[in-house]
Amino acid sequence: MNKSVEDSGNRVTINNPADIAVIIGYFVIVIGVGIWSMFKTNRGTVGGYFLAGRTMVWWPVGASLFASNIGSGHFVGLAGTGAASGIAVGSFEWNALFIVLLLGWLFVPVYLTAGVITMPQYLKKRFGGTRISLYLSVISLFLYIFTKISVDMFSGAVFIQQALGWNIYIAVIALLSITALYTVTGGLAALMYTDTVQTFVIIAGAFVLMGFSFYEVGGYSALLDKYSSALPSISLSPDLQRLNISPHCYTPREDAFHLLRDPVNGDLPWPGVLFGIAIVGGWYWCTDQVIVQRCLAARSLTHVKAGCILCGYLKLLPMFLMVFPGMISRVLYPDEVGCVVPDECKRVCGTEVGCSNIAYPKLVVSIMPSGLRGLMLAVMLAALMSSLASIFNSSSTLFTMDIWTRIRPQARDRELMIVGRIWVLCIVAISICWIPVVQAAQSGQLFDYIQSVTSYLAPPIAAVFFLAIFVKRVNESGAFWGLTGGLVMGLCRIGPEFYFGSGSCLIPSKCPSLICGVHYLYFAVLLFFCTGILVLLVSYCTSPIDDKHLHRLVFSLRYSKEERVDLDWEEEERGRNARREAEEKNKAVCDEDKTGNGRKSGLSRLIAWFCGLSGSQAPELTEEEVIEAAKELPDISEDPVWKHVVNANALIMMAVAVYCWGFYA
Amino acid sequence: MGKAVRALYCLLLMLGVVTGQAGSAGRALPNWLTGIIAVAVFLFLVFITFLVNKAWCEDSSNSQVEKVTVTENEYSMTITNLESVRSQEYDGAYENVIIHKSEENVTAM
Repeated sequence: MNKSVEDSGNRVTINNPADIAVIIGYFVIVIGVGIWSMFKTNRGTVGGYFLAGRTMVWWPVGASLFASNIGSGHFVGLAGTGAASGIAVGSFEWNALFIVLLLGWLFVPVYLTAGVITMPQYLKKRFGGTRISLYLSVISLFLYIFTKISVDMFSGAVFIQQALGWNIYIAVIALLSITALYTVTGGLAALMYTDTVQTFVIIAGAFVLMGFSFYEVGGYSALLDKYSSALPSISLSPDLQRLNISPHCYTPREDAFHLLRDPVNGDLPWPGVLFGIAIVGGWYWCTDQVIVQRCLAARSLTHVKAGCILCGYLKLLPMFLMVFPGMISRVLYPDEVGCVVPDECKRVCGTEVGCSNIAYPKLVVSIMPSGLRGLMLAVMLAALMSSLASIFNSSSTLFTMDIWTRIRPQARDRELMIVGRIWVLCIVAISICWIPVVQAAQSGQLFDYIQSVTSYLAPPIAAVFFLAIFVKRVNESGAFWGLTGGLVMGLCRIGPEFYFGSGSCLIPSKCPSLICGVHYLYFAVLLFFCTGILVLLVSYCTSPIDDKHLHRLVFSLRYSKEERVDLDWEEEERGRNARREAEEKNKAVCDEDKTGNGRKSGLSRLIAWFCGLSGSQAPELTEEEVIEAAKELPDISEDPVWKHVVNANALIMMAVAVYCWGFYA
Repeated sequence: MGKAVRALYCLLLMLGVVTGQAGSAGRALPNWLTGIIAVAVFLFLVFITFLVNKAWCEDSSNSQVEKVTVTENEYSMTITNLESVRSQEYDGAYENVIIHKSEENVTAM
């Protein structure tokens, strides 16, 4: 993949002062904001580090939701798929407009009033037992590494190689180090403030590129006309015996400007688009740690809702900022972006399957004047770093709060902070080791694999969360067997698909059509309903969970003020006892040692400040204090005036979204 | 009533003219019209839902009153707490510390 790319003449190095100044300016601003946020919040406690002390207002929440979601994978993937098959891929983004409202209005009130930090913790309180939360933690970490991190790193790699020609390892290691730096030190607060900066950079830069591309192609109506005739000049295979290229493999689709496509023959059938993407979106936005954590960090429920609306409006933009430029790229460079002959494609971008992934980098290299190329590089870096940083922080939260506390229940806040930071470094190392895998996988296939893995593994989780929140009758065995059944079904589909490969237009896959013939979006819908039915069946056959365990854990009881008997009370109590014992032992040791050196060296104090570890550790609460604390309930009441303002805004946003869907349907 | 009828006539006339002129990518209706129709349908559905909601809430009005009073108590409790935490420097700002502390209790493991 490397050699042929470097040989092609399109090497554009960032070596002029304008570009370099822009990039350096960008890094200075991001690191500056990161350092400023370090002074603003207390990072030494679990609440301060993982939830930004619950003090965030609506605009960092909304911006952070957007920036965490938009990664370099969106730039490369949306533009590439847009170039290949038209605007339907934008429906992934426009579907999120509605799902993000579900998050703010239905799911977050329950999460807030339950008083949890992580999603597995919520399931543990809701169902009791440990196997469900363990399953969720492991699957979430697995999905993060194999889908989110690999997609973003692969896309960043494509951009870096196409646009800059840098050594991939040096570039990725440098990026990950900077990201890890402000993740490790600042925690969620630093992330959310820097995400606001990243959002500005992403939108500004992408708008500039969109302006230039529309200017080059001659305007919006010119794009509509020219797209259907964007055919590559080399469309005959040199070896007709071995490979016959049918015209429909390189001709732009007729329904390229429609969001809703044929339910049987379309590449994104409209029932799948409306319901399948909603289900996968439901997992991503409503049940996944990365997104929910940002909502939990908000100051109040009204701020959450306002942040969700802001994120929704921002999600209108990717269709215009990424999908349309991708299509313009195919119009302007049909022989490269729209190449079809395998040897030709290999010469252009190093992969035989197709070169639609280079749509966006090609525009950056060819259209942007110098100075602005540096800006586009900053945009890609912003997208890459914001997404990766969010994933690092959330996976660190998951690992620390769910897995480490199971291994060492006596761990206090300070130890958890240190473990959280070390886990970020581990994940960075794993990501670096993932680069050769990313390079070896044929780039055209990687995006399909990512879609498949998500569509086959996420729906059961979405189903279980949805039922857990809205149906009180669902109990632990129902949820567990539902998750297991869903996992088995998903693996039955993933196995053959990976084994036979997903194929391409020229060489279709040999996977039997009974398994692989069902579109992955339809399969997601099927999986969701099958899991739901299984969960309900098993729940109704086993004993229900008493209401006294469910106060403020389900939607219907979210305002109840009664005392809750936590299902995980025993486990929590064991943890608290272990921590109290450790504290007693510590005190004994300290008292003996008091005559020793009372001053810490300057260096260790500097490191402690940098890592946000305050000197004193808050004492573990006694039993009475714990009971008192449980009586103090998290507040999800809303000021009525602001509640109506926010609801009205949500309606307006939905109307705008429906208009856009209707416009391009 | 006359005004509404006139408005309806205007809309139908516009529709007729527009379908006569339509032709972008072989569509029956131009894009902006399908968009507006979709919004109209959506707002209609919202209106229906609102009416249904109102009708249902009338039935369970007793429990609603209870809920409202409980919420009000919580609200006033919150106000009292917040008043004691007002920052001296800025109007409308509150000290970070107390919020943080109460939140810490809630998320205590």
